[in-house]
Amino acid sequence: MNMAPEFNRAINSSLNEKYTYFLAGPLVAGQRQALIVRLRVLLEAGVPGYAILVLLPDRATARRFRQQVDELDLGPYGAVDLQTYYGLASRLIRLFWPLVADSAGFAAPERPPVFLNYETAQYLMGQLSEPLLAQGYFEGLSMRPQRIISQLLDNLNKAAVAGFALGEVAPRLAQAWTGEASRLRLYEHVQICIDLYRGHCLQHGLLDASLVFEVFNRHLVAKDEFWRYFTERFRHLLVDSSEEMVPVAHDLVRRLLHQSDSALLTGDVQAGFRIFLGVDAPGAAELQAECQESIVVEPANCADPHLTAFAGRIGEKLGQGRTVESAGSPRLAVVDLVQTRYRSQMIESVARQIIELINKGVAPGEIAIVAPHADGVLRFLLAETFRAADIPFAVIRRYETLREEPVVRACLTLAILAHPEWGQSLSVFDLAEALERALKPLDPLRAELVARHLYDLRSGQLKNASELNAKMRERIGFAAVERYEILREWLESYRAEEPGAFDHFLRRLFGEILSNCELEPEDAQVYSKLIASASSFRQAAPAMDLKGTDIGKRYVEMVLAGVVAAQYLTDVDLEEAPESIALVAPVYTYLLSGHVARYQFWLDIGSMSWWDPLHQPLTNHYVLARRWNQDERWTDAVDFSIRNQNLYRLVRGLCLRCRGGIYLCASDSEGRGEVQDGPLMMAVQQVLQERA
Amino acid sequence: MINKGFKFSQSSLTTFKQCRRRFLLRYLQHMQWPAPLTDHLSEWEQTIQRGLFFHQFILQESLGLHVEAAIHKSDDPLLRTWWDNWRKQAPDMPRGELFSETMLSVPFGERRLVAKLDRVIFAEDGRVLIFDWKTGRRKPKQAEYVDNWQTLVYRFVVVEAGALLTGGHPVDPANVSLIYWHAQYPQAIQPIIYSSAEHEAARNRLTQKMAEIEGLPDEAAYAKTEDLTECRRCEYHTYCERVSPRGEDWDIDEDELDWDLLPEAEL
Repeated sequence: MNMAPEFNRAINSSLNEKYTYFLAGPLVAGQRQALIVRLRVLLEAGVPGYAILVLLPDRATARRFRQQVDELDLGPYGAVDLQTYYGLASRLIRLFWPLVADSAGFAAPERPPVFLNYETAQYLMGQLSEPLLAQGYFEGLSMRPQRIISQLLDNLNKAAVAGFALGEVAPRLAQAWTGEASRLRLYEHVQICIDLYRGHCLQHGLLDASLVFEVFNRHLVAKDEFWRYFTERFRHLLVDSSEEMVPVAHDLVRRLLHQSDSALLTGDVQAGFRIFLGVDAPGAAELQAECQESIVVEPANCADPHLTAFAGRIGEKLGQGRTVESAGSPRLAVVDLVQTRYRSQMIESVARQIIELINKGVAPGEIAIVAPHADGVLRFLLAETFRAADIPFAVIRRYETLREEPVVRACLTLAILAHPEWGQSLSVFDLAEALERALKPLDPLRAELVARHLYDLRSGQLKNASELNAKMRERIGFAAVERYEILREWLESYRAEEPGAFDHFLRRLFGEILSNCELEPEDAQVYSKLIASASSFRQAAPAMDLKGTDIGKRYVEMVLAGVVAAQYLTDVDLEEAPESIALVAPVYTYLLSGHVARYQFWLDIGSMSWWDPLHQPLTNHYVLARRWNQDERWTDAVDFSIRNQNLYRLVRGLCLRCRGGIYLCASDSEGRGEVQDGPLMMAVQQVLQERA
Repeated sequence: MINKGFKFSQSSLTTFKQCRRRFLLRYLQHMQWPAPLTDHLSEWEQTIQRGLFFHQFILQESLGLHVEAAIHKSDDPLLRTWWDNWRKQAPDMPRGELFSETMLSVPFGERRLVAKLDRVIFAEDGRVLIFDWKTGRRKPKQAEYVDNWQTLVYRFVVVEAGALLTGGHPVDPANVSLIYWHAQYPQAIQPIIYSSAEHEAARNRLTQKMAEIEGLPDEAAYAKTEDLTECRRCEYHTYCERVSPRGEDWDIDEDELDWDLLPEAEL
């Protein structure tokens, strides 16, 4: 990505005159490059690395940024702090715990904090709210408990990142509500649950994400001793994509801005995609106004004119802003409109078009496929086609549930076999899936034979392979039967031992049974994260009143119930597969990646998923934002307008990350047979029908 | 095989010495392979955690924070003993400019060499003291420390990059000492001094070693070690099909200790 030459002035500005710059414009203007070059200028001038704070919007960006810094030709330097706001906050809370624990309200401030990851936070909220649910809380909501829990946690996080008191959540939601009065009762339930949860965390020294934000923002930053340390240490500030940061992060930047020797901030105030995490793009505009100088690069000066024009026209159709005169033609932005009857046909057509592009000399790494969801059918069909054509292909997804991973399911099945005292039952299907992995190489058919013939459904135990008749033993294969016996004996011997920690069981299962040369490194990576997740759960177990083998049992139940993973299960990212076609979902994952494609394929453009937010009756990202006017009401008109605004933001973001053109792809009916005429499709049709 | 900007460290150089394949898997391919290194997983985990806490307490104390209450309440008697050792037998800390938990990086051709320093003091009398807190299981032996990659890398990097911390004044190797201080065995290791001649020798050794590593043409050249005792201490032993009983002489890699490795929420 090239950097706009206008940015050079900021890059080479003084090191110690407290000058503050804001570089504004789309990511393709090269603000991130500007930050890297500025960092280089600082380091080459002899500024110690520890005196520079680089704030980045997420961990993936931090990883990419670090790689680029590592590749700079530099003399000696001190390592630079490249942090997300959350990473910075949690690290400093850990360090300054003796200073802050008491005033933040923790019952035992002399005990070290236990940081809760998202999985454990979900579990804890589930445990605490379960008796209330049994009493009839949230009655009438046809929603899985897991969804209720995630919305309750969302409320805690929203209050923390916006910087208002937890007690204001229900009043804010209630005040904005204009629908049926029964919803108000639900908000009261929300408040009781989140207060209970917060109280429990303070009592037991637990820090979930919301408390990390709150303790840092409200308590630690307010301490003079801390602020003196912080400002003496960090003399230079670099901020990337400030529109992707939450209000309390903006507060910190604003305060530091005026005390730093230099500051360079970047942002695209029309972006800010992760609204569900509470990011605040207008807050970036406020920071821009506080900087002494702002250098603005308009999309027309750094992006493809046709794509810019297309985004503008779509925005207009969605009621967002006015048409900006552009040298480009919206119709020329669209290479093709792929419309098929069935979704499978659409996927086939996409694959065919991509193969054609590659045959014409387009590199796979220049092609991106974006979709609101990368479901199994889509992943499977594309993967099969590209594998057959020997084209590299990478799937990049975010926020998966642990149980979606076959490796995880296999481990949990084996864990259930190893712990009969849990009383959990297994299906033959579950067992066959686990055996296929544990007894590699073993095909699914043989795995099922083993499961059918050697699993005692009544006792829930594996039978000795000697019970197989000669014919079946031959069908399954002697080597596989041998591996089965090793597994069975291992499980038997484990059961005879004193039970240990569950994550230790997982580690041993990996080391002693699963980890052989047949295991794919990617599976080992997922396994590592499963162990880390189970270990983190155990650390918090005493505070959840869990001990002994109950910890493992509850962990397994939690994962099987569909808890969302705290970490990405696989670290595959766009820059790690630069020569592959990338299928990225959801759309904002692509937007945050910094990738610019020559061709983009937008899938399922008729789907309402481009426009519809998740159904979340117990929370509201907008009402719980700092910027929400409390006199305003959440009406259908507001809801409609915000949906259109968000869709336009996605469209604009995608168009500004594309150089060659887009393929718009839709089918008449989605996999579930729903008609595909969502607002994106409608807007696209209107734009394409216009005269050139 | 090795990217531009690859960061060599004392850990990676030590790993290369122990097993080239392990270097490949860990530092070039970043392969995660969570096989246990010992049957005593609880003890292993506690050793890591205790090491992290001890390092953190020292850092907190240097920031003027009160840590005694936390140590007093700790249910780990060994950690309390270590703190007692620190209270009574901490190494001499001369007055001067103090830097804690600092990472320095110096160029080496297209690669870099990094050192993660627990503490450096630029004393008022001109001495430069590098401190490294040790919390591993094994009793340290002076001879092992004098001639290991950590000693070589730390002293070299501080001389090459120390000016970043002194406001531009170059660091004279003759003023540099490295002090390993083991929380369990506080008197076990004497300070290790440095000189210009050793500095040049270190540069040569590093240059040669990096050239050797960079000269390896392909994955196959990163051969598995012949010394099977190393496999007992290696998480990749099953990957390499070197299944051997796990040893009892396991220890933790203190250079790799990092709170950031703990799983936390992604936001």
